[in-house]
Amino acid sequence: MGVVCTIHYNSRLASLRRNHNQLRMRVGFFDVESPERVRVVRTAVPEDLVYPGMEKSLVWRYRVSFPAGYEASYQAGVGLLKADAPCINGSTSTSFGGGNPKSSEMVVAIAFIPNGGQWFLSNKHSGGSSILQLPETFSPESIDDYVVEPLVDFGVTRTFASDEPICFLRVREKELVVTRNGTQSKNLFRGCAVYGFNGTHVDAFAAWQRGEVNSMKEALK
Amino acid sequence: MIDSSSRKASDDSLRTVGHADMHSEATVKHWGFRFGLLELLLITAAIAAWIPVIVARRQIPVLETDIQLMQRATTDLIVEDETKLTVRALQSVWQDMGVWKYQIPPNANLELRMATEGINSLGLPQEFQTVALPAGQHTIQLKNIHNSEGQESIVSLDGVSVMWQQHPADWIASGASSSSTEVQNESGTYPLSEKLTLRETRYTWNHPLAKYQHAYVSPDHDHKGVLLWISPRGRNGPATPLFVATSPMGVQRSTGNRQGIRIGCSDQKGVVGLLTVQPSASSIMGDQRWGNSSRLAVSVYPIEESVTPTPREVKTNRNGAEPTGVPFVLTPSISPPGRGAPRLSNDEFVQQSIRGGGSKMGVFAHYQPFPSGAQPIVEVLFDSAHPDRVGFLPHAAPGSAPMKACQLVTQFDSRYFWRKIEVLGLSDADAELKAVPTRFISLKDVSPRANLSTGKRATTDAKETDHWQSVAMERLPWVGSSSTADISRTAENGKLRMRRLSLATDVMDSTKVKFPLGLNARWEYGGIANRQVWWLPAEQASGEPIDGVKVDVRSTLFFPTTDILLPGGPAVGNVRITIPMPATEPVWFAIVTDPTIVL
Repeated sequence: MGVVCTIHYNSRLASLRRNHNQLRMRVGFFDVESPERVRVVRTAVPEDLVYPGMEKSLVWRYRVSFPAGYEASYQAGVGLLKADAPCINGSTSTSFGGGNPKSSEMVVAIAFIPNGGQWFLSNKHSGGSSILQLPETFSPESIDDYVVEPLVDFGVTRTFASDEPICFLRVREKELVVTRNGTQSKNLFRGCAVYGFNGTHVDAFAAWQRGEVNSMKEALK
Repeated sequence: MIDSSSRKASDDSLRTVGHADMHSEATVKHWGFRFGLLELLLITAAIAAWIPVIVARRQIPVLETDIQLMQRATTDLIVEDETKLTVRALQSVWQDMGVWKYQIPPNANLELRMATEGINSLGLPQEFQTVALPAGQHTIQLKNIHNSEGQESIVSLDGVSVMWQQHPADWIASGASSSSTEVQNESGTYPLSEKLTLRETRYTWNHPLAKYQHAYVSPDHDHKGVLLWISPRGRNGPATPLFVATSPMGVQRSTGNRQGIRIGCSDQKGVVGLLTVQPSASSIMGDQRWGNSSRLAVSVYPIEESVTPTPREVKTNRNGAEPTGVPFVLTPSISPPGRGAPRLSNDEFVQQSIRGGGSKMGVFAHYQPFPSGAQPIVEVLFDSAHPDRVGFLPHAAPGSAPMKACQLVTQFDSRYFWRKIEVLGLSDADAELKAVPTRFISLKDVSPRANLSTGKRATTDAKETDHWQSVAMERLPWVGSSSTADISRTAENGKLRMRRLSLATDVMDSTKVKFPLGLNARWEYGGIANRQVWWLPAEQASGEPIDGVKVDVRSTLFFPTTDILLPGGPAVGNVRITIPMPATEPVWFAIVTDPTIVL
C-alpha cells in the first residue's frame, strides 16, 4: 500500500516539479521568500499580446507580489524628471488601489505603443490602466538613444519594503535638459517614468515628487 | 562464572518445573515486544515507504499554488472539458486592446459577434457583425480605439482581421467609458448553447454644458461603445423591449418608454398621490442623476358635478405638492385591482400593458376615492413613435361620484425656469392649419401682472403669485395634422385637431446659474434647456369644437416646496389642464429639448 502511494505521489510530484520549472522559465519565479516585502520579477511578453500591426511596441512585463494590506498604486509621468525620482513637470496619471487583506499577485505591463502616428506610454495592470501621449520629440523607435532603466532584468527577483517606491521603468534622455534661457538644468532630464507605491504612503510620494528628497528614496539595485 | 555442580542443579530444577513453567515462559514472550531483525527491517521499510508520501503531500499544494499563480502570467488555455467552450482572457499590454484564447470542439456552431451601438442592459443589439468561430484553439484580439478622430474597432482571429467598424469623430462626444466581461483571467468552461460576453464597453455621455462631467443615462438605454460576444450560430435573442417597468427603492413602480419618458408611483413622503415624471434622458441631458427623488410630477384632482364652476383651489405648499395626496396604484387594466391580487412582476406588468402590436403601451392609475366621493382612473399612454411624450385620459371608476372634469396639475416646475409661453399673435386666433407665426411671451410681461386670457395687462399690481392665470385656448398654436394623427387615439382617421401649449426657458446654460446656498440639490437643474409641451384636443376634423379643455398657469417666485427665491425672477410653478368628463381623447405631455439649443 505504502509503495503504491509512494509511486503515485512521487509521480505526481515529479510532474508538478517539471511543470513548475517550465513555468518558472517562462514567466519568472520569486526565488526570495519575504512575504512582508514587494517582490518583482520580469517576465517574457507572449506574442498573443501584441496586436497585428503593432509589432514596434516596446513592452516591459513584470510579475509583482504584494504583501497583505499593500495598496498597489501607480503613477505614470511624461515630462521632466530627475534620474532617481518621478516626473516633476509634465503629464501624469495616478491610480490608487485598495488594500488586499491577503498577499496578492499582479502582472504589470509598461509599454510604448504606436498608434495613429503617435506614441503612447501605457501602464496596464490587473487593477486598471492608464495611457499618456508622448511628445513628438520623444521617439521610442530610437530607444538606444535614451537611458533605459527597467526595474529588474530576467531571472532576478527584486524586493522592496512597503514604504519604498518602485520605479518599473524610467526612460530619459542622456543629456540634461537645456532651459529656456539657454543654461543646462542641474538635474532634470526629458523622459518618462512609471512608479508603483503603497497608497498608504501617498503623501510621502507626493512630497517626494514635489522635490522633498527625504520623503522617499528609490531602493538601490 | 558458573560451576558444573550448580549448572547441573539448575538443569535439574528446570526439568522439575515441567509444563507449568513452560507456560510461564510463553507468557513472558508474548508481553516482551521482542523483534527479530526481519521484523525490524520490515517496519523500517514500511515507514520509509510512507515518508515520500508525507513529504509529497506537503510539497504538492505549495507547487500547485505556485503553478496556479504562474499560469496566470502565461497565455496557456487549460481545457478541462473538450466538449465545451473554454475561454480565457489574457491581460493585454494596453487598455485599448483585449485578447482572449478559446477552444471549441468540431461542430460547435459558434460565432463571434461585434456591435458598436444599441448596447443596453436588457438585451443584445439586433444589428451586429458576425464571423464563424473555427474549431480548435485560437486567439481573439480586439483593438478598440476611441480618440479625436473617431472610433475604430477591429477584431482579429489568430492575427487576421475578421471584423472592422469605423465611426467618425462626431459619432459620440465622450471622454469616458465603462467595461465589463463574463470571462475571467483563468481558463473557464462554458456551455455551447449560451452567449458569452467577452467585452462590453459603454461610452458615457459627456455633460453637454459642463467640462469634465458625465451625464448619467440609465443602463437600460442604448449606449454606444463596443460589444463583443460569442453566440450560438444563427441565434438571435428577443429584441430589446420598447417599454419597461422598474421598481427602484422607494418607488412602487416606474414605467414607460425604455428610451423616453416614464411615469411612476411613489411611496415617499410628499410625493404620495403624484404621478412622478421622469423625462426622456435626452431632454434633461446633463441633469444630475435622478435617484429616488421626484423632480417633476403631475397631480390629479377630480372636479365634482355639485361644486361651483370655479375650480377648487389646490392646496399646495406654495408651488409644491401636497404633503399627502390620495394614493393610487398602477395596473395594466382599467378594471379595479382586486384585493389580495398577487403583485405582477415588472415583466408581466409590461406584457399586459402592451397595445398596438407592441408599439404602444397603456397603464391605469387607480386612485382611492377622494373625500368628495369622486374616484378617477387615469389612463396613461405611451407611444414608441414619440418616446418623449406621455398621454393622460381620465375615466371615472365604477361607483364614483359624478365628475364634471378632471384636472392635471404639474408640480415642481420652477426648477426648470420655464418663463415664456408660446402664443399666436392676437390677430391669428382664427388661424387654422396655415403656417402662422408664433411668438414666446416672456412670463415677466404676462404674469402675474398680465392676463393671458386677453393679452392685456391686469389692472391690479399684484405682487403675490399664488393665483392662476387662464390661458385662452384660442391663443395657442395649432398642431400640424401629421403630428396630431400620430398621437391621437383616432389616429387612423385623423379626425382630431390639437393645440399646443409650449413653455420655454430663458436659461440656456444652466451651469451658469448660481443656485442659492442651502437649496437642496434635488431642485438644482443642471441639464440642457428644454420645454414643457402639452398637446390638447381642440377640434374635430369637421370643425366641431371639443369643448371644455382649459389651461391655467401659475407663476412662482420660489424653488419647489421652499421659500428660497428663484434666481432671475418668477417662473412657471404649475400648469393646470382641466379636462371635461367624460373624456374621450387624451391630452399629451412632454419635456422636449429646446429646439434652439446648439450643443
